[in-house]
Amino acid sequence: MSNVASRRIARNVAILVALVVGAFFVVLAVSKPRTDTDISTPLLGQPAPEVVSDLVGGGEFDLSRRKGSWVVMNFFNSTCVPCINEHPELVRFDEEQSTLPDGAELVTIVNDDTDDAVAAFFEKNGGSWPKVRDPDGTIAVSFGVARVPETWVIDPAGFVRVRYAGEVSSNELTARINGMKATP
Amino acid sequence: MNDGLAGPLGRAALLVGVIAAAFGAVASIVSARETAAGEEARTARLIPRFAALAFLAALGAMVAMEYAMITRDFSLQYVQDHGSRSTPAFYNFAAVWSALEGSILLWILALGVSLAVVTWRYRRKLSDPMIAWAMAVMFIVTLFFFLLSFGPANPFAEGAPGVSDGPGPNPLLQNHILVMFHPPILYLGYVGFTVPFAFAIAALVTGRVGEGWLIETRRWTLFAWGFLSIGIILGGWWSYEVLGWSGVWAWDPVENASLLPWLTGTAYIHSVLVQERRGMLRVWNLSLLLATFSLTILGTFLTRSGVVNSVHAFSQSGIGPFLLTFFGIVVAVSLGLIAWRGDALRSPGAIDSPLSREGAFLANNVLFSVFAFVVLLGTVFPLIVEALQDRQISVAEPFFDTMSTPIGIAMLALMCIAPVLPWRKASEELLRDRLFWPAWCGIAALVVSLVAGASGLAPLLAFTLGGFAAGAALRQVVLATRRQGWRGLVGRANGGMIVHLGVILISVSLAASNSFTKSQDLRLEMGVAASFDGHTFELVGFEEDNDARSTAVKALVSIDGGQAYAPAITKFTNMGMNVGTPSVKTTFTHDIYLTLEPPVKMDSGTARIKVYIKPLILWMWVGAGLMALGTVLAAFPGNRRRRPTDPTSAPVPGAFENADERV
Repeated sequence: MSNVASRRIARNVAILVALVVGAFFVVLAVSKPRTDTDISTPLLGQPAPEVVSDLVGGGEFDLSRRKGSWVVMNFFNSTCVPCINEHPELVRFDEEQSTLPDGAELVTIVNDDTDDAVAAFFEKNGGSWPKVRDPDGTIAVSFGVARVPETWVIDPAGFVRVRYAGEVSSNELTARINGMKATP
Repeated sequence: MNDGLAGPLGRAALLVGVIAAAFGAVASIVSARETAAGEEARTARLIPRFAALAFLAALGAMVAMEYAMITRDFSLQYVQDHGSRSTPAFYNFAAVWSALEGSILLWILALGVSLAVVTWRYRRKLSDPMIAWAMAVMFIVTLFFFLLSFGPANPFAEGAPGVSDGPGPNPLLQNHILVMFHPPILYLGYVGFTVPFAFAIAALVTGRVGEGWLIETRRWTLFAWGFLSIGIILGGWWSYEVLGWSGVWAWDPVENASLLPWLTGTAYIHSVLVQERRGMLRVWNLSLLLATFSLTILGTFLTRSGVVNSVHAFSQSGIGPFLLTFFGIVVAVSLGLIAWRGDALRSPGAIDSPLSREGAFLANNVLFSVFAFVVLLGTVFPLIVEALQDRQISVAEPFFDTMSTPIGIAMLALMCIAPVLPWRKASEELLRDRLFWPAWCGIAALVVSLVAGASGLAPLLAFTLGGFAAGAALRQVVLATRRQGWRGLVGRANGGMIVHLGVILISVSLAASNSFTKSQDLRLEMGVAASFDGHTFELVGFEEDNDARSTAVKALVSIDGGQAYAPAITKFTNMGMNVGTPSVKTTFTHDIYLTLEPPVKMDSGTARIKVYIKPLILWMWVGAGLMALGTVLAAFPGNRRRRPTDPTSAPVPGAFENADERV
């Protein structure tokens, strides 16, 4: 026990631990905080589930007939605060996209809400895009929507490309879709 | 209602706290150096003033925040984000710590209380360099958290003007009385470890790593450990009562973050006994304390910076880099001190035989360290992979379950034998004699579980070893009370055995509920009884509760024709969030856990419910109670030796016939 090597155990172990913790520290320092809005789903890269339903105020919607365009589906409820907060962003996004030749189509999927409440909400806050009824939650369930608002981006081939949970901004949506257009 | 005072008052309190903690740290260091240089410690008398000031500042900030929340002072961003006019008073009070900034305030208050109590406890010894250095460390830690709160996580930041209502706290935090108790108790545990950490650093700085500092902080560590244990279990209970997936633990990063310091802390309160008794493992014990404190900071970083995904993770905030830097400083200082001092401080002596109490404590430490490493690895592995390979993975329950089952069983096995082992060396006859009754308890437990229909290697091992270990713990308590009456229930060894009994109950309950839970979806029609696992379930009606913030639909389900239980779904209208609330019928042998499944259509006269039959859950809470009781008993002074550092072989006047029966 009295040779030099054994007397330096504490120092050597401390140096060893310091190296490991140092490397770990670097890993932690370079880890990017996750943005909780962009979340995973088994449907990413898969064909979107079927969306066939009536529109609030009359008409029908069938997602498979929108092929050829980028479709942004926003799951919505007129009483939820984040939905209300993000609404002006969606209005801006829709206005910008409608000026483009290959602009994305925005669709609202109504989640657990009445036609009257939805119509009144859009009357007051603007937004003339289609509002799809989902009376028994079939669409929300087939996509696995956890909590409104969620925003899904479907590409022109009908594949799911992005899922956002929580509020989105017009700039984020535009940048993301432009990015995907550039790299198919 | 509100007068806008809370913001300025709170900011002022935080500033006072920053100043008091900074001056306190300087005063403590100056005082330590004065006495070390042989001068009169004139600055020492300043320490209590700064400590009192820091405590008052922490209290003032907390009071200001509560005042803002209670008077609905929507001029503050924090109240705008987490307050609401419609939150009931009780949950509104707890809303103060429902998000990052407020929870840091709670942390500061706990630190302030520790600071004040330590100052009061050592008010006559503040000029001792060891105490002065410990105070300096505590002031520095307090300073860091005050700075965090005054700067990047300021709960008193002004919000946008004109806001008159907010969404309220997360609906999950407005659902159960436990939100009131789980966070403060957990924080008392986290923060409590600051005190032994401060003394460990002081011991290294002054070079006085004898047993004195350790006996000073023993009770602190015990209480911090007790609060951490209870806080963790309350979290599990909250999960069980609120989240509706019928489990108590999901290996979520935040849960792991609380488990990590608990594991190293548990290792410490065991191995410290070896040091008290035999003077060995000094540097190791110091390292465990340093690791425990570092892990509390690391855990806070992991869960508050958003680098790992977690159900608990607060939304993004700027405090990640600050916490990471603080973690780096704590680890660097700790390792530096150990490298500098460690070798000079190592104690002579070696363990005589692996089959001895010190050998068992060593095995305990190996198990707990391995467990802590596994949990840490599983928690941060996704980050490491992402840093190296730029892809995202997640480490989920299967990894943790696979790893923790054998470790848990090995811990139970150790609990069977360790309590009966004497110090130094055990002989075979002695073991045979002492293990006789505990072993029969184990066999009895095996028979009972087989009769009850249990199967599978891991659960049967857990039940058998649980019975065995309970026998070993009871043996100690019975022998001690027979000799000493009620005093046989207090002190480290005896209180510790009560804690062991609690841990065993929890382990058995976990093993049973993880292995033998049955569940079934039932579609109930009004007035028609459905049956599952020997129970009948009948839908007898619906109830609707409306208030300003939520609409709750309850399905009334009569179990076995008796009382109706009411699982519910509550829709928090201004959050767009549906929260299920389970309803639980508890019996001694099993819980019947009901959840209501959406969508609920009251006029249809039908409801879909999910039924879980979970065995032995009640005993988990009983075990938690025993752990708390045992911790308190262990903190009472037991049958003391004159000098705690007396070697075990020295006979003490009035010793018992079996000197090694005492710890």
